[in-house]
Amino acid sequence: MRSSLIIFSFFIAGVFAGLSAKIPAGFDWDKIGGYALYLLMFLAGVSIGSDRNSWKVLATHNYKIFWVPVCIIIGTMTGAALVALVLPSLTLRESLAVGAGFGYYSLSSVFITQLHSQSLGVVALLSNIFREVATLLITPFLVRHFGNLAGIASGGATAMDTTLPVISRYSGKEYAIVAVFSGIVLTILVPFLVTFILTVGK
Amino acid sequence: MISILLVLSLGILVGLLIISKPKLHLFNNYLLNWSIYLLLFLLGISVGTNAEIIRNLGKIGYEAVTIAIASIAGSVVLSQILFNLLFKKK
Repeated sequence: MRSSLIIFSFFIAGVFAGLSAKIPAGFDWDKIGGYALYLLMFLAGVSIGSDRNSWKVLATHNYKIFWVPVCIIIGTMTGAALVALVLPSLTLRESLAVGAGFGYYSLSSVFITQLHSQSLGVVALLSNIFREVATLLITPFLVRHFGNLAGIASGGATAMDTTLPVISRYSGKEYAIVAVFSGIVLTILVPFLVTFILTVGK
Repeated sequence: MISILLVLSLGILVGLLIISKPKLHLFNNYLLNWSIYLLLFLLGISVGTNAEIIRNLGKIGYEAVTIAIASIAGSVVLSQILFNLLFKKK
């Protein structure tokens, strides 16, 4: 929660800086963003690869927990696909790409901005922040009515860090490892899935 | 697309090489955090200077919340089915 507030305030500060129109007219996101994306990608990769705990959790032999991220991916993609049917302003590709952030707003919004458009990048930023904040707020309700995996499902990629405390409190400590596993798998998949969805068949 | 995924995979490999160097992890996470802050600040600037996005902010917010709610609902429903099938203590 704290880190998402910091990140969001950097974005808002940027918006106000832009609105105040003191920015030189030639400011071009695409030029800076292109190289920055590669840098971010590389750093995100290093952080995934160097995390010994992630590898340990991924090497688990409990086959049941492999189904958790699978269900979250299918459920999220189904939900996002339905939105594209209801809202004519979004294409299926756009809606799926935003959903494929699984709450990992920082990386997914930068990616989508670069691979698709700024406005969809902003949709992704807001949508995935909303997913994280909503999970923090409604996990007690979700767990009570939909079972102990519901908070993990709602949290998506954030279940490994920001929403882990609330999940472990309401689903029980034995579900913390499931949350971390599922969150790690989804976090690793976000860049692959978003890139795939936005570029396949183009 | 290929080049982005190559850079990501290269990063993971480099990460594996420094897996027993905690000081380098801290440095990497520091760089990662600040590059995210910087990129979102820059994204903010270009949103602030983009009249079309500012005009459509209501629509953008509406789409964002709708996708988030649908994503949560879809995954929660499937997770309940999985929970009842495999996890529930009988």
